[in-house]
Amino acid sequence: MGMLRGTRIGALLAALAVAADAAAQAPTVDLGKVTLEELMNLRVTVAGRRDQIVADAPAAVYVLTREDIRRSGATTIPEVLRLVPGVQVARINASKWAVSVRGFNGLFSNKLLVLVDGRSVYSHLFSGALWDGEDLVLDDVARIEVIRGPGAVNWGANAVNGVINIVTRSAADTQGTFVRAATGTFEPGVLVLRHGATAGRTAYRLYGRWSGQGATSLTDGSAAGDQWQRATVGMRLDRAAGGHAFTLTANATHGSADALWLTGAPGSNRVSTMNRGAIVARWTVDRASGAQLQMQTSLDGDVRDEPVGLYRRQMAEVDVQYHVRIAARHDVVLGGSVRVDHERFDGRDGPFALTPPSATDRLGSTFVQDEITVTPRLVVTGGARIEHDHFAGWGLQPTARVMFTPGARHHVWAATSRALRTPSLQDLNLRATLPGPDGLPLPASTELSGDPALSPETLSDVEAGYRVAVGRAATVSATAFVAHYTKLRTQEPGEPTLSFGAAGPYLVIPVSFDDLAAARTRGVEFNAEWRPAPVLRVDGSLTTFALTPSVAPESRDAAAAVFDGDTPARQANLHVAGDLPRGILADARVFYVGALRNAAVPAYTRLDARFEVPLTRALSLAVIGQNLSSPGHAEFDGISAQVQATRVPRSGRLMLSWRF
Amino acid sequence: MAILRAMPLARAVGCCLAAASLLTGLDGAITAQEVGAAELKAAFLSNFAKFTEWPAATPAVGQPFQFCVIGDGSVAVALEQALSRQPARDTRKVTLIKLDGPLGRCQLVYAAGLDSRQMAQLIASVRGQPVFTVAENAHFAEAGGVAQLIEEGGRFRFAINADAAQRNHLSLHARLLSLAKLVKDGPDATR
Repeated sequence: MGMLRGTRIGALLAALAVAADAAAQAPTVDLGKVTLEELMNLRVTVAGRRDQIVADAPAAVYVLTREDIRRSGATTIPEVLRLVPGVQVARINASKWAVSVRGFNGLFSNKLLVLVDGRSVYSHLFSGALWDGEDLVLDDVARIEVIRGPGAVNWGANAVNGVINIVTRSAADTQGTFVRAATGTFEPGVLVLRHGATAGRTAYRLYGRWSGQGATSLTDGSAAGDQWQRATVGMRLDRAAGGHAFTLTANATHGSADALWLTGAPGSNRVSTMNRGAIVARWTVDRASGAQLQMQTSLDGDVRDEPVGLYRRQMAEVDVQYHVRIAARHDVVLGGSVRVDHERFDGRDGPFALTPPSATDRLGSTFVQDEITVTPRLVVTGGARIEHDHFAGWGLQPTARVMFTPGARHHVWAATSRALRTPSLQDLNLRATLPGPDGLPLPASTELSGDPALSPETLSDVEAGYRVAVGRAATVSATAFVAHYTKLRTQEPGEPTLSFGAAGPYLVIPVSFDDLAAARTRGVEFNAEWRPAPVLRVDGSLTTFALTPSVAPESRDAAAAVFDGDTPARQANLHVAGDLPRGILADARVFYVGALRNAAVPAYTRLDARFEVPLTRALSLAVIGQNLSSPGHAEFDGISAQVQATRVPRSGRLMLSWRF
Repeated sequence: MAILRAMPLARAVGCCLAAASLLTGLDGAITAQEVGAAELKAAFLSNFAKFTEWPAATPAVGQPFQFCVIGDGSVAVALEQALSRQPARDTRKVTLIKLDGPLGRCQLVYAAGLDSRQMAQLIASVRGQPVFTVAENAHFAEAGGVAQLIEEGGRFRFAINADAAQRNHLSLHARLLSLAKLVKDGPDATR
């Protein structure tokens, strides 16, 4: 789906960076004075390829290019996402991340949809992406498209606050052999082997990746013992002939970690193991009329053996999309998908269980979107998705968007949408026994239970944006949004009962999930990029966010009334990238992340730096320093997700890459 | 840059980068040979127009010369900027249009991201009209397009189909033809 959906979005802001202005001449080539012969000798910068991903998108879109990913110094997908303006990435401990857009962050950020090549990696049990399971070779990633704001029409359920779509490179682009080895103070080792070749009109690649991650540290400086390792093998095959294109990907990952679950039975094995795999087949047909038909089917399996229980999932999905131009003005995309998702969780010794322990969700949806070119400068888009979920019933998710292009340098857009977050299995069927609150006359325990009658959480939002090219080499993008959420989850305590155990009497407080909260969020997002010279790039972003909760009078959930989205009021970053002589690439980044009020995580500043030196034509060495400004800092609080949060240490790493 | 001041290491890196940018400034003669893809394409388009003659009544008296861009706003922006630096800028105009837009009013059309059917549609819809068509699709020129931009190892060359130019009543300068890879109509050409 990546390809078709990819045509819906784009990053004009970056493309506009090529704008040149006579008033501010920098030491670069004046293409107006260059002869045709000279033109043919000029080389396109790799960075310039960003503008190949271009569409006039009436949405807050950012595209991380391969070059961005390479220069990030990151080795995992969530760490790369720190680069994206408006995305909040917080590392909870060595193997767990909280990643969200526009609020509601957590280990399971349930309003953010994550896709890899169009395949949803959103878990229905927890409602959220399991980042530790997505073990990609970062060099194989073509781009990461990030949409802030709802994308339900094109992308489906749970694309409420944002969509992250990771698009991998065609096998035709990864020919030859690639070896990468890295070692460092925090990550003891990364080893990547990849080989690509062609057979007739078919290109393929095979790859393997092993990575070990070191332990983070506790507040007192001691090691948290949360080191983990993963190994992945995979392949991709691409074949194209006569208007037909076929892609097959398959991968399998094994990992083991101590995720620092707070709720395991005392003395029990604390190590979590994960075995997961996926197969995706996609077939694209370009019809004689110019229309395009795309069919994709995927199979996904996941087994996670955690101290708290055994989680198993099998999922199958079929997705069809059709893109056609009707009359002169209508650009229509329509499609549908069917998904069967079987999940089972068997609690072990610990406090969590599902009743019933397994569930099968059947989800069907269909959507249509029409992009109407009213005039060349004014494009109006309307669309809606109708979805039926086995648990949540019918849902309608419409959107209306308008894009106005008063001049080639200015783009103004506005949009309003409605999107749904379907209830997760734990919302519906959870049974958990957790320690009760302190300060009561008797010891207490809390009996938490899901509510099978919960309705989906609903978002209605309005957003608007402006992108402009300033001077010859700068672009600025600004977006503002106001969103209203209803039927947000609350935890409602009931009347306590008295029980008698071996240690004497204790109180049992029943707590059930309900949907009595609402919230209003608002924020502005700025990002800018400036290329004063072809070899120098400066970019930065600033994001503000505020959440105002409101709770129905009958609710007794004290936490919901002060909820702040676990998102900082402000975050910002600044990046300077220089292409030095002899092919040396230098990058420095500063990140500022404001305090998390409820989670009591202080604001922090993080500094990363990276140098890459080509040793020979085939071999390059990178020296990477991360979190250089402090010996360690906390980024999140794991209590709500029942994992222990730790401190991210300062780290250094050496990385060798060899292509032949 | 208060953040940087607070940290010795940050300062060290900052100094490094500042020094680096100074160095690269001195090194400008070499590094400046790299440009953005959109800028480069725009420069080719501008040169194609420079070395081509349209029929006497094209464009109509009082009308500006129309460059039309389909599917790539960045090329339109780069072209607009390139033209604004040249004399007589008011006589030329850059318009972003769609494939089913008024192509006949354009003197030069650059189209990005076309599939093979759309490519054929573009060629057919301006056949016999004084419109210079440019695209990057493989075999665009063989299929009846006037010029095809070809990227090889980060550099661009171009192919010209002189028959297609003649069909569209365009007269190409020898300079343009001497630098081009010359191609003829292929078996599937939209004649």
